[in-house]
Amino acid sequence: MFYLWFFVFLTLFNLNIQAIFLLKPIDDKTVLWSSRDNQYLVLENTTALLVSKLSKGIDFEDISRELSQELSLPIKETTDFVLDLKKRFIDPGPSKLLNKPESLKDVVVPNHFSVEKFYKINELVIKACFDSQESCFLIHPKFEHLEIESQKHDFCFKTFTQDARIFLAVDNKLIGSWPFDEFHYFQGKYSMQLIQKIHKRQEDKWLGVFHASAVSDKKSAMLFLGDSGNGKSTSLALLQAHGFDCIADDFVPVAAQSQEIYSFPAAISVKKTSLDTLLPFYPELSDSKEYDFKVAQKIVRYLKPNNSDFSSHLPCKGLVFIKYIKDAPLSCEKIDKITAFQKLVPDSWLSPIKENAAIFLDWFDSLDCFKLTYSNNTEMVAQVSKLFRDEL
Amino acid sequence: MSQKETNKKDITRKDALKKMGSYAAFAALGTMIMLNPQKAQAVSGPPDPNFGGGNGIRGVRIDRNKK
Repeated sequence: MFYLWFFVFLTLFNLNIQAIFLLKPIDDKTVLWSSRDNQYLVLENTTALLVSKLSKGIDFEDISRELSQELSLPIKETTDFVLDLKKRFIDPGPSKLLNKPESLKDVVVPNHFSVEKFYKINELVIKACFDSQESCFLIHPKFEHLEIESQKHDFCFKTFTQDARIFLAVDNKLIGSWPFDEFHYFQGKYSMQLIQKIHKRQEDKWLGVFHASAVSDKKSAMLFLGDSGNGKSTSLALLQAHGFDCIADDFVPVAAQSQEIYSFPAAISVKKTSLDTLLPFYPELSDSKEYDFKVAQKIVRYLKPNNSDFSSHLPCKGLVFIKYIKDAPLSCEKIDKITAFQKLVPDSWLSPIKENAAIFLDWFDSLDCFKLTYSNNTEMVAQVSKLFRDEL
Repeated sequence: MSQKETNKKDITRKDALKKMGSYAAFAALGTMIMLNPQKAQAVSGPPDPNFGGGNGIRGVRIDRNKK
């Protein structure tokens, strides 16, 4: 009876138990989202119910007594537990997200930039200015395939360095600054600003950005996820050589309203270790420039995506956690959603807006999640084709 | 209640198993997994601590393959 009531409760309240919490049953657990730290917690269903009661202001003693009766345990034990939940969720300390926003008011955007590039993305022309070859190097290689001769531009992105920080300004409005050792966040914000311009949606209209590769069969798209080195980009390149479309590599934006995967025009990064695999399909890679990211110990070339319509967007059919293992037999199986959730969330930027978090939880719950291990490329491509055709 | 008196309170095997089950279920309630998304949009790749120092960005373009 206890559990039945719990699920009715969740349904009635349609995720939104209280302003600061969202609760979503996924598989046999409940995922709780807290607006305070934009944090997701995987809880036992009973624990989630206790938190929701506490958040509604129900007295902890009443909750403890009920739990004590339910589990036939001493009231002291359950009181300690409920008080611990109260301390953790209802009366926590200051939020980690309440950091003082950085002040950019004393920063002046320079007038002179030594490097200027122009990129054409669909009908949009972006002028990208850099104060040095080094700062240009952070952005240009991935967008070189979009470069055009100088012309009238729609937006101007300016990148410069001051006091050991890298700054980004768009149309002379300062967007942010990052210490040098966080330049991957600079690149992320640059990419986010680009998708806002390309797809005409501000940051609050995006559900999240996923560290994945997105592939489509022109009707729907799948996200390929996995740790660095697992073969996301290589499989994307292989799939695009076999008739699939590349929607995005490494930076995959999903819109909140439609929950569709949107195109991102960056080139596919091909590691030196993948060259032998890809050269038969992309002979142009033998002549392409090679970039040596010394500290990352990564030598890469960039492969132009085959999809030139960077306005495209498609519904997501599923998530595939892919892994290349030498000599491994092909294996593809559905995995439980909580396991997939644990892999997905820490590697993603997810909107901190409550409405978007609720949509994200619903969207994630609607997706099928797979684990695909392979060593033979032909088998991998055939398996992905099957997944697109619902033939697992 | 003294320790001596407590020890006198024997319970049946059935009750003991039931109690163990209750405690196991109770212990499971405290199991939770905290997941923090990325604090901002980011691209992949480890941060380069040497950016801006020495030769600036440490990556270099290799043109030897460019014909």
